[in-house]
Amino acid sequence: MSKKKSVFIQGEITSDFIANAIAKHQTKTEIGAHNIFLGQVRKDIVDDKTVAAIEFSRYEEMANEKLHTIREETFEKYNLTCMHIYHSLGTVQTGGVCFFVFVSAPHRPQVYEATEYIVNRVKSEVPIFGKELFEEGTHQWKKNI
Amino acid sequence: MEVKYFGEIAERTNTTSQHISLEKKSLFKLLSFLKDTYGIESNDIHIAVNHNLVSKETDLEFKETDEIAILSPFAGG
Repeated sequence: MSKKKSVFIQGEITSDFIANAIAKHQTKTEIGAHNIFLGQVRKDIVDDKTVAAIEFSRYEEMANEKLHTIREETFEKYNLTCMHIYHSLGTVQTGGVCFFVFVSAPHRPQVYEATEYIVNRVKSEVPIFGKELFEEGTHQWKKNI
Repeated sequence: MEVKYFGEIAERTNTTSQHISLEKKSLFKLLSFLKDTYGIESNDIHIAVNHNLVSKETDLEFKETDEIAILSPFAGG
């Protein structure tokens, strides 16, 4: 069992954070391919109301367990060198990055498939909740389809 | 028994956890309680027992030590 990694970050995932994550892999010279997925808060318009931000929360213990399982099962399924998953907590304004999946392997085909697999599983299995805050002060709860 | 609420469910119940007394500690009784007390429909929630989602079609009996949580739809990503 690999150690449980910290996934949740307060607020937006910044470009600096993402750039640092990439830079840290330059010493891992067995890697030949990285793939990155970034989820960004979209300025949706719902019934004439415009989303200004999303406020994320989670069921901590269950979320950590599910993320750990997803990590383990992804490593079993794909030949990866490493994998990182980060998700925001708290408020992220529209245009801000709230989800960062970073997958690395010796060769290219594995990283595409693994990224899609991780993103789909995180969205459907990890208890993360999102309150869409509208510009004029009301809100609605986001639902993944 | 103690029940935890998350996401929209915590908003609708106005609390993140609650001690509730049911005549039988079962899933169907819990669903009835949520509907009668808060108007929460079974289709709008997930139920997790000890951090795993359970079917809402089976009348599971809860154990004293079970951690029971009512979750609104997931929105990660």
